[in-house]
Amino acid sequence: MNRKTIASMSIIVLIMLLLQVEVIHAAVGCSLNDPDRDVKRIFPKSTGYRTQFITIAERGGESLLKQVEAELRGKFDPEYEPIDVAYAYYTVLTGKDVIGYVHGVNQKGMFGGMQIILATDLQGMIVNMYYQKLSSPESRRFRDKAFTEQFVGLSLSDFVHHDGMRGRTCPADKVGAIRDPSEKSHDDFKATLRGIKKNLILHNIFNLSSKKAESH
Amino acid sequence: MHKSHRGVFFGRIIYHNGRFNLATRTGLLAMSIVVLTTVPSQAATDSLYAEANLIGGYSSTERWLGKSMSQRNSLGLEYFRKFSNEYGDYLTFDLQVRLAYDSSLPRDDAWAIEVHNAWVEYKIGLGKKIVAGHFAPAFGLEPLIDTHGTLMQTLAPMNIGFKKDWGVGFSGMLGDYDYQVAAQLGSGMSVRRRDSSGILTGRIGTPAGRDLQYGLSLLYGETLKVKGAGTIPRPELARPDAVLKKRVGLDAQYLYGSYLFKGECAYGEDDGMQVLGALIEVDYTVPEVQELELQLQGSFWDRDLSKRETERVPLTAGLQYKVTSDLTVRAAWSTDTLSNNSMNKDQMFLQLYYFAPFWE
Repeated sequence: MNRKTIASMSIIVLIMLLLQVEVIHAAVGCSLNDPDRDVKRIFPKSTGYRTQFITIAERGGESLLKQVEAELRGKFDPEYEPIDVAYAYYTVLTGKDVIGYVHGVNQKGMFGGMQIILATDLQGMIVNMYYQKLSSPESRRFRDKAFTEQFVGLSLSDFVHHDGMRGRTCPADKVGAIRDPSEKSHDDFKATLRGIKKNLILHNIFNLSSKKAESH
Repeated sequence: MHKSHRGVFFGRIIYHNGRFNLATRTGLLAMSIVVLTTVPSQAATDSLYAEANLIGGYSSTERWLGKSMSQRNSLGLEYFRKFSNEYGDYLTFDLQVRLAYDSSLPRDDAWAIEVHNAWVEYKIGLGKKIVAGHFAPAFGLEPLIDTHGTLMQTLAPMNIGFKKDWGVGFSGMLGDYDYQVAAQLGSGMSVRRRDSSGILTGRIGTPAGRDLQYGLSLLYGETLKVKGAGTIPRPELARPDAVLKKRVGLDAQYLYGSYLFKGECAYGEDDGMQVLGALIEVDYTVPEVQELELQLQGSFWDRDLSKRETERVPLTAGLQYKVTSDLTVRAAWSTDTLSNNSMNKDQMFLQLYYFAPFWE
């Protein structure tokens, strides 16, 4: 290796090492492919958004992971949901005012990965849900607005209530009222419900709870 | 002013005889990093990753290989940062750098610094962005697909001659479509101009995130052909003059169940000679073992349609297996049996690719 190459690489590595102080150590999980378009479509009055990457590892580590898994009533898949994966949060703004959030998660499906994106209002209620990626031969049925719009108006409490019913019928169980749109992909329907609930749990812990704590 | 004395930014100090000197190139890179990391910002989100790329292969004509068409044994870093203020994000910065070893070269020439992504993107409104630095030309699949660490590549290396180039670009929305335009040096990974080299590219296509995506691309300009790859030291030119390229291209991707279909084609001229190329790839994620993906790719590149002088017709079968979220094993076998080119009839590669947070 010649001296010029060594010198150049040394400078770059040195700068990189100096930057370590404030670096988030994580791979990004599910960020939006086209955030400007998506944010404008869902929040037409928006003028901008702020992107933030948050990991379970940095916010609480193993103990937080156990808390999330307990709320989810299921274990995280180390392949799709490693503890150090960064979840992307888009805080939607009109001028300086926060008007909502957009956030996505990766979820293992029957035929491959799915990326489930939620847009929520300031209280955590879903205002839009869509699949950014969906590996399913019945993708068209799942992406149909007749299915995705059934999630609008729901929040984490509706999923918690649904889990509490344990299969029993309840008129207030809004999640239980949503029907599987597919013919042969029921596991993808269940994966969708899991992914949405996981998304809401993480958003509640990472953003809404901390905002509530700040306001108190 | 004589061509070779044309100044760029600061005149002859940084650009002389068609060359940016080493101190300038290293200095600009270092300065860019320092400036970007010290820009005042209400909030900044950073990520730093380490990368290790270990690759080996065997060719029926060259025997043992230490590199593939786009991958060399290397260690690398990626630094990504977003800057925002009370009105939202306004600046994004990404730098991917590798120290690469090319075992086919003499030991003193085998090491090189490769700068892959090195760009700053400034947002001038929702959906309107200006980018400057080293990034993919706005043509075909390459700006849409991450091929940084993969054995399977797009048509870009055969079509344009490189995957990324230095310059400026603009991206925006046009109704239901997204578009990008770019003006770049035409030199690829190294920073240089010669013989009025430079390219203009443009692509308009459907937004990402749909099962079916497609786009139309155009390219016009002169590119330089170099021997090997690398930013520092700069590789030698394979030919002294630039090649005038004109291109029109189509690309598409379709996700159906466990299958992802990718395809692109390009038609145009190289110094007046008609050229044509196409690529099609099918990726299959094994449902029961989703860490495993099988891939099949076919492509061809005809550099002179009048002579039927096809440069490469590789058919490649590959697989990749994610051992952990940080480590991927890839293998590929390719054959050029339909090609007129006698080199590299059959090749096999095995790659270990590590990409993870710098430390935890």
